[in-house]
Amino acid sequence: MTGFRRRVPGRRRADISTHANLLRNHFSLIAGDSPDAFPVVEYVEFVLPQVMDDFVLEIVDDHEMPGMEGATWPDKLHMKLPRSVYERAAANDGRARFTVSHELGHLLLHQGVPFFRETHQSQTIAPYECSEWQANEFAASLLMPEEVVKACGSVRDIMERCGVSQTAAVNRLKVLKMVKPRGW
Amino acid sequence: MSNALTPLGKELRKLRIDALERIADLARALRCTASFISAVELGKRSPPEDFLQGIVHHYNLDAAAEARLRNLAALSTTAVRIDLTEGTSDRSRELAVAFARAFPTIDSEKAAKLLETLTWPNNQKGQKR
Repeated sequence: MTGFRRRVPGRRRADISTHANLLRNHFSLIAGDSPDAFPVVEYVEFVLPQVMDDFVLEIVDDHEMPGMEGATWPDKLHMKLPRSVYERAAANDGRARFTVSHELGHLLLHQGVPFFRETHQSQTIAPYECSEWQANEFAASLLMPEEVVKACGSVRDIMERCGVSQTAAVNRLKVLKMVKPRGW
Repeated sequence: MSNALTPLGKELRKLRIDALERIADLARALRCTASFISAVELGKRSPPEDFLQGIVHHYNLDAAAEARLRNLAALSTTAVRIDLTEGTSDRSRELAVAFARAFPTIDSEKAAKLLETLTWPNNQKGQKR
């Protein structure tokens, strides 16, 4: 679930991007050529129900999820989004698309995963063991695969080709350790 | 509370996927909200008649598909309202209330008998909805 960090079994960045790439490839197989901007809402609405019959996407009025952008119960195959986030994602808003991808990350990475109960609300969760880090990493590599980012010439180019926000594009460049050339 | 799609919800999702429409697209076509469609799919709201008509029209359902949809809608209904405001005799009010009270105790055998009593006399006139 989004909102609080949980310690989960660790995953490496490479392992997470393998998952994300498999999913992109899966979509291309079904839909033919898929665009650089991964159609995550279409994936969730058209493809997931075919591979997981019990998957449920629930959309609720915003006041039913105060202060939340999304929530996922991986073992119940249940993803819940406030209406405004869903509508923005469906209209290709970058930030909302990232949110849906993040929830998809929880759904796929954290099924059957024991959420470790912390005795102390510890700040010692290593990033790779943090549920939120893993879901963000998944979303970033789903929407911005390394080879697509490498083919882009500017932050704006990444934003347009991948359908992401400026924040997400800049973060991705940092993570991939790609130096922003002057003038980007 | 269950978070599973009702049989009607599954049918609606199938119709949508076959038409390659997202909930957002259907919401726009039916002039309702995405959260309303979602609530119907999950059985949190009963589908109103104009919603069902909208679905039939939007997906151009033939008579058989419409009957199927309506049957699923009936099965997915979570509550039934009986209007007792107009032209209701005391006797029929009593019946409605007694039925509501006894409902949890009616087993399937008894239900079959009651259904028979209720349906055989007017099978020619057709059931009013």
